[in-house]
Amino acid sequence: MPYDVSDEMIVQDILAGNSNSFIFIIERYQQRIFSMGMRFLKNKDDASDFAQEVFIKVFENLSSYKKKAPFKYWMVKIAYNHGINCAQKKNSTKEPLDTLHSEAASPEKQYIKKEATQALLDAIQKLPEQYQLCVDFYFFLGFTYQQIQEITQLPINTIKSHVFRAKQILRQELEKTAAKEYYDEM
Amino acid sequence: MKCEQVKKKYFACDHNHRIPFEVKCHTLFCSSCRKEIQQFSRHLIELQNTTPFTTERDLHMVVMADISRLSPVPPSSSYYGWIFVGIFILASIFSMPYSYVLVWLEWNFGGNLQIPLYSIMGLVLSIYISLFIGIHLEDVKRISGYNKRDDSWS
Repeated sequence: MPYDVSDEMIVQDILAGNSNSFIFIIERYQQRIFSMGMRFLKNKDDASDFAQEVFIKVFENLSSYKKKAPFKYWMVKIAYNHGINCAQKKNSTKEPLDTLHSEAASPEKQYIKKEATQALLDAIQKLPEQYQLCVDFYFFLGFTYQQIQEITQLPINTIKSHVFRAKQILRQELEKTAAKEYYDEM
Repeated sequence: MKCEQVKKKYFACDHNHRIPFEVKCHTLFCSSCRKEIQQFSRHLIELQNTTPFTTERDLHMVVMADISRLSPVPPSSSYYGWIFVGIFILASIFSMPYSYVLVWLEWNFGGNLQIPLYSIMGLVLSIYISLFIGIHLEDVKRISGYNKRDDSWS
């Protein structure tokens, strides 16, 4: 299926009986849902299981998707609610942030070769934990403050201040790194 | 407006917000702010093409295997519109002998008009049914019990 086909069209195809098209949804979102799992569960294996469960949930509930909101938003909402349940069930002791970083950094380094992009990711990783999921939604999924508020049920002003703070940190980090030079060359 | 204030205003913008007019005006004359804002918006676009974590595990196979065990998603398409239009076409065909339009047509074009007129209506109905089947081919196959795997009807 070509990349310019919208999520909603893929969903329509699945609902018309072509379940195999769901593979394109997995392809598009597996890294994002896995990232959400990492934020909630802080463990690669648990995050993979989480992503698997989310995709199955999404497939099972696909007929209830009313196309009022973008599919991405609807799916992330399911993932977020499932993440909260999983985190509560796990009731884990908080792992130190360093462990999380070392786990995340190695595959990330393989995947992202551009120095500039790496600088951006490092800046996000340095944010306080409570900021990270809101910031992920804003930066990596392109959600608006209103959409993040609807998903997380956090006060919109708190989200705005988190994202604003993240933007400031990003800006500072980018000024320090080679990313600035990278874009200057462009 | 000072550069710092402009940047603050820009950073407060949401994805779907327009850049405030005063920020635009300022960047027209201030090249450093213009450059920084351009750089930052490029970074934002770049970020949407990446994720904070990546997994090497391929979920395709596992999820698709699980899904194949589940019952297929029921079709969500509504046939009400199609049924309504179909009834309307049929009702038009059957009510034609009683309409003033047919009388007027016969009066103006002669009495042998009924046969070609019914042929056209029949053609319209056939095209309509073909369209319906073509668009809902998967549903029609499923309802009629067509088995895709062994290419047979059950």
